[in-house]
Amino acid sequence: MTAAHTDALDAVADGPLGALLAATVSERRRLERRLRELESTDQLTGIANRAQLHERLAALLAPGGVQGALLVLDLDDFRLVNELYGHRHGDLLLVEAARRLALVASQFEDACLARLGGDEFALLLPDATYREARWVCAGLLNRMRQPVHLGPAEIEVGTSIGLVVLDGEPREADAALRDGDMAMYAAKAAGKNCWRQFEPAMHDDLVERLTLEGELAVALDEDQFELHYQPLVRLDGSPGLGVEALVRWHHPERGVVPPDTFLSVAERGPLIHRLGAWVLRRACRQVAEWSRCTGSITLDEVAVNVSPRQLLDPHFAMGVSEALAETSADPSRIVLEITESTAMAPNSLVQLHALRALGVRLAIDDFGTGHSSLGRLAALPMDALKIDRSFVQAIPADGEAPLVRAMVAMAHSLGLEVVAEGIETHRQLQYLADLGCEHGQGYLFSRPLPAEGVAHWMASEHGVAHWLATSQRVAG
Amino acid sequence: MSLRVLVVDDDAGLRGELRQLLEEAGYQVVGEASSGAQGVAHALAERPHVVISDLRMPGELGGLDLAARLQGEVPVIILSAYDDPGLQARAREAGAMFLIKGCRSRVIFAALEQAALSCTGVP
Repeated sequence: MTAAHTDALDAVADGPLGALLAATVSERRRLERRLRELESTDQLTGIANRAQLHERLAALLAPGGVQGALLVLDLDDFRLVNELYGHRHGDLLLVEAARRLALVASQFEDACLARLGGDEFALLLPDATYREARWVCAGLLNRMRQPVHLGPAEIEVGTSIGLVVLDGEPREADAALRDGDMAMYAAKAAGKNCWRQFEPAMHDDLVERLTLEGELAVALDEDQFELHYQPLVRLDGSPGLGVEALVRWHHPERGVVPPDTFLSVAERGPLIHRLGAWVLRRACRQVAEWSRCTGSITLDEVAVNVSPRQLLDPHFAMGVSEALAETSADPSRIVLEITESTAMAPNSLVQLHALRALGVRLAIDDFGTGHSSLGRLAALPMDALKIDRSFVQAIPADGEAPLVRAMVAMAHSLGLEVVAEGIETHRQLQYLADLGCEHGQGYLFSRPLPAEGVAHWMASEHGVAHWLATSQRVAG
Repeated sequence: MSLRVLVVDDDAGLRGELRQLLEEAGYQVVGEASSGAQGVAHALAERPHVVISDLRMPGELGGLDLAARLQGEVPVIILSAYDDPGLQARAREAGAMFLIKGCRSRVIFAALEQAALSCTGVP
């Protein structure tokens, strides 16, 4: 290039055309940078996405990599939060979760926090020791379950964490993520809001859960379920009896499967709707049958548990209406029990009114274990409130139980009847009767019984007549 | 001489992990407490070099109250699930250091050494 050429180019570069070219190149680089960010960032939370986490994990697990830890985290019952509070609030919860995780991530150099999708996050901690990773899990659980404000409501959301210790041995990133998922599912199966470290046996547990899910569907087709009924006794000594319907599964090979085991599996998928519908229909049929065979003691009502996902199903009220019509059950003898947190959620109100319009009665179940706003409680179309067994069992052998006293007084001031769950001692019975609690349920009276056992229990010397006499003495 | 530490938190799982983290690093955990009142009583009876306490606990005494009660007696490190700068300032006013739950272990160890040194000259 001659000096003349160089001078000419310099002149162009210094002039308006040069400035335009420079601006174009700079803009192109900015756009490329932005594109790379978009490809590796989660748009909702602003943290890394699965692709970036995968890339970082693969680099850490390559030959010559260092030790560290991978945490796979999943918010507990997030789907329910979305259904109860709406997707906008669900998104706000995800953003807040990412913010809380980011604070812990920021304590570690080179940590990578990513949203894997939905409500699942991952935290890669290169250089963390085994003991340190356990400490982080415990700290995160504590941090994540602090209350979150979603609009007018304050909720607590637990987190389940799967921990994979990376020992510096080369392996596939996908395999490490799969192990983390399995450990996280093990934490869910262990009751949620806890952490579990990956163990190879977890693979077998997952297969077992999937098998159980398949067998549940078969059990519904083959009618392997049965309802048992636990008596609800009137504590004022007046005649009358209610029962709570509780589902039992007689598996042809496994024998009796504990309700906690199969209900948690059913809750995770669409089977809960089929199982819930079966329970309701069977209970309605039983009510109709008992109504036809009136004896000396009236069976007032049958209570049926409604799962949160059932209640939020837009077709649920229609299903209840059909079950009542088909079985000719008196709606006023059916009580639908709804847990406190579900009843309180804004999206439940329309459904509760629709159910009430059918003539069924509504009760808040396990009261005291959720977060209730008194204002919202007063606005709910409820008939009764069931005090959770944990409060009843905490009634001291002598002395006051101020929480129970306050709950009964509050329920009565709202016009609600009170049922105390889990009564096991005469002292608890006496205390609750003195407070004016209307109904009691628990092993002191009876365990859950098969349908034919209820009639037998009612007639037996340890049955309702015995408790009526006891209650009359207590009330008198 | 290893530093003697008292751990105060109502979360038993977290207390257990912190105890193991400290003991593996050579610290001596002289006790655990699950409430602020219990923590103050233990601290005055056991006279540890440092108390590590949660911020919010059931009962009348939270971590900041505990730090205020022990000010001038035993140095306190507040471990919190909250990153509120206002709380950090209040912890400083009560003479306590402030760390986040789930922070790096070496940050806890450094804070322990600094807290013990500033108060008693140990080790």
